[in-house]
Amino acid sequence: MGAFLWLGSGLGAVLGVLHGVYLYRRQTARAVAGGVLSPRAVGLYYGLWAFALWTFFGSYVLAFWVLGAVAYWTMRFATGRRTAR
Amino acid sequence: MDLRGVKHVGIIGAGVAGLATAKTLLAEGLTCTVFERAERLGGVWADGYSNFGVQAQKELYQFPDWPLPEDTPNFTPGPVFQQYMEDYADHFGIRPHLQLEAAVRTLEPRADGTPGWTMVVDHDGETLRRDFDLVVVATGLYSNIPNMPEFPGREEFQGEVLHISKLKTRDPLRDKRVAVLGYGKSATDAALEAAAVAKEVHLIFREAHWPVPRKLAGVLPFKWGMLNRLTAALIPPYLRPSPVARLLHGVGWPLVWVYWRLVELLLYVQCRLWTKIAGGKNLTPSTRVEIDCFGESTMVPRPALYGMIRQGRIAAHRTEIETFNPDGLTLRDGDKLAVDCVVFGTGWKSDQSFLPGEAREILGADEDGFYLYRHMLHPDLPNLAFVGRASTFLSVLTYCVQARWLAELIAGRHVLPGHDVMAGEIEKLKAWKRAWMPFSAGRGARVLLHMLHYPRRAVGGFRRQPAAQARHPGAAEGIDRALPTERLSHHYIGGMASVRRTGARWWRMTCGPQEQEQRKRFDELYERAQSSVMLSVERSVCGCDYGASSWTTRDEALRIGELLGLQAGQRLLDVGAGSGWPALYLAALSGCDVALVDLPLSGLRIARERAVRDQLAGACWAALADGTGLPFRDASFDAVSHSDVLCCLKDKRGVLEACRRAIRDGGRMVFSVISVAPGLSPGAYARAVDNGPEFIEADSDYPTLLARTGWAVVDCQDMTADYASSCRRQLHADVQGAEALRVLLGAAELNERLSGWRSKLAALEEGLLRRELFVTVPAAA
Repeated sequence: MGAFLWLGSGLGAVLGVLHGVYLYRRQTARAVAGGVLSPRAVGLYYGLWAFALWTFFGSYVLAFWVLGAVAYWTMRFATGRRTAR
Repeated sequence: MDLRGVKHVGIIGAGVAGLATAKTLLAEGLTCTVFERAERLGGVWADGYSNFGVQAQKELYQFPDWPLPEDTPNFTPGPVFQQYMEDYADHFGIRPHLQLEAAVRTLEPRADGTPGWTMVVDHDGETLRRDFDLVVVATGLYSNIPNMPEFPGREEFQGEVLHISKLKTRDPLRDKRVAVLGYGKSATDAALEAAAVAKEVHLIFREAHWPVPRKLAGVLPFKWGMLNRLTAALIPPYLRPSPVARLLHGVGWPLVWVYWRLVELLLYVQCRLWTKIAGGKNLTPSTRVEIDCFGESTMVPRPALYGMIRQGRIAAHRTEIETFNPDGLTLRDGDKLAVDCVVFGTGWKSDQSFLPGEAREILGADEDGFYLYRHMLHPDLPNLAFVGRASTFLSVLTYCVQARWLAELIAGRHVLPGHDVMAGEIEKLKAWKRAWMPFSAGRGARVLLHMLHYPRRAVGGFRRQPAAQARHPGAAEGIDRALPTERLSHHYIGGMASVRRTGARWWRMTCGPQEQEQRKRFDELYERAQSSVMLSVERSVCGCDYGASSWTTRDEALRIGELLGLQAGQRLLDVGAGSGWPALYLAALSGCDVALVDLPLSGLRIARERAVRDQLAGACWAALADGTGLPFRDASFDAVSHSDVLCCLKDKRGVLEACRRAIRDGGRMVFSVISVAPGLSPGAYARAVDNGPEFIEADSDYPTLLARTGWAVVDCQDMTADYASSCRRQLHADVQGAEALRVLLGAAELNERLSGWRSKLAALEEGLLRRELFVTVPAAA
């Protein structure tokens, strides 16, 4: 369980960095366009929050990902069920 | 397609889309006429079926600038919404522009070949022909042609066959055995109406669809579940998905899949879709919810529907009609129903019969409707726009956004890409939708849950810096500001290229204290100039009432217009525009577009208000900008003018160079300027400088300065005598209005003012000052 939590949080952190950088750049650009005095601060706010949330909930996301994949393939091959994808 | 010359707009349809378009375009100063074939406005809300109403929460279905009254019931009843639209039309002054019971018969290209259409309208027993620069089709996705599928044996059926649109009350259904065909909002509403009064009710549908309960799990209003960014990320990716959406639907697909299966589970349990119906079937749809919700029959059913089905009050049949019989129906699953009345809840056909054949050919006769660039334009149908062909759950807001986009396009504040790009976008949209969206006759117009993407991405490109516009003073009045180079984006004059830096941000000008003081004085001057006594003085001196600060009289303005050779469709740049005189006057006379540039904000505010009053708002753009750093692309203007501006500025050379860059080859610049007469003694020179404008002194004479800045002088007219006459009239008008001026300015300032006029007049009469009108053209390289 502990390993799963670490794995999930680690994956979440990786995704969080990617998403955080994306949001940082986008929100900074918007803040610049909006004439905000500290656009980088705005971008950093969004980016850091994204990183934090992904890291914190990473293991939950991973759990759902695993459940989703298992359920999908199960339903796909179950008799009489509609194809799910 | 270039809509910048559009002045007169014809709008077909007075529903939500038509009213939103009319309101938006009227506010831009365009003239609009709205043609509505029904006897009252409202579109689908003007004449609905029994107990019809909005299927979304009231805050999701209202005009953004005209909220529904507080006491409006949620899921607004149809008649209430219709009255709300009547009030909207009255509040925004649309009604005088509305022609009811006016059916557009056809559109014809203008006979003279100019862009636009001639509309042939049947109204009041007459046939009218009206010309418009632009026609907006705002007839929405429905029409007055019911969609009534044909079934064999219908002519033998002895009962009544109705389309839902004919069901104005429950009475036709009373005590009858009723069959309702369909599974959308109107069909299920009809079934519920029948259930209240009929003997038997059958609901016949080919396919079940996922319902959207008014409250998810009985707790959460559906808008919170559907209209959020999480859902927007998890629905099938939009045409151009973001990197996050691509990742989510790529590697992250199990998350997406499990989310939607959980949603299905919720709906399945909440609506008890396992309920057995005729033929041993149930109500569980066979299409995945994330796809089904983009189909034709997405609906928010009334809460009573599934309960009525469970109780058997409404007998549900998941099949189709095979044939009509004399006394009822035979269904495809073999069941025979004895019915007295069949109600078709099968929607409406789209009717574009008023479009000329060629236009309909261009739009195409595809079964899933026609596709448009941004759901609004077709590159091969110039000056024809569609507003209302983007169906979402926030339709009112969506149509308002469309109208706004169109208005910005007409104003030139953003531009369209080329023909091939637009055509390519249409093909991409078509291919994308056809790849996954369920088929329906209206698929071309379907946006639905992509409604969060549509305004932002599909209709983007205008007002790219809304926050900047909102934050700087003057933004609310529609005055732009000149931004530093790297931030400059779309502008009135066809987009921005890089502009050399002015060297300063607009709110921290590097000009000296003298110029800053002067700007402050002008600010105060413009504010005072709107008083009745000042306007009266201006009328007697210059023959105008714009609250102007220049000496240009009406005759001079006419002369300037002639010398510039202004025509409709040309662009005039007025530097140091002040309160809009004489530029707005010239624009009104010639039909040209005008860009007003100045630094005192109060003057530009007055100019913008005047432009709106004179219905020139669509032809006028105002910007806070320094004359030496004009924020326009090179060669953007056909004509440049400025009235007594150079003598009020230090950097005359900078202004002339900027004007030279902004004008196209073949354009003209005409300007008046006050200068010190040549050959004066030192004492006389000093008197001339004291009595002239703040920065009357120049390093060289104007012909030399013009030559150095790339201008060739075509003509120079001496207007000193006219200037002196104006000065005399000014003095006389001030003396006449002394009492009122004393109240406005105070005694001390009035005396100073009168003394100043007298001194100036003396200087003029002694030949110390002169005023000249220069006519110049760009010098050959």
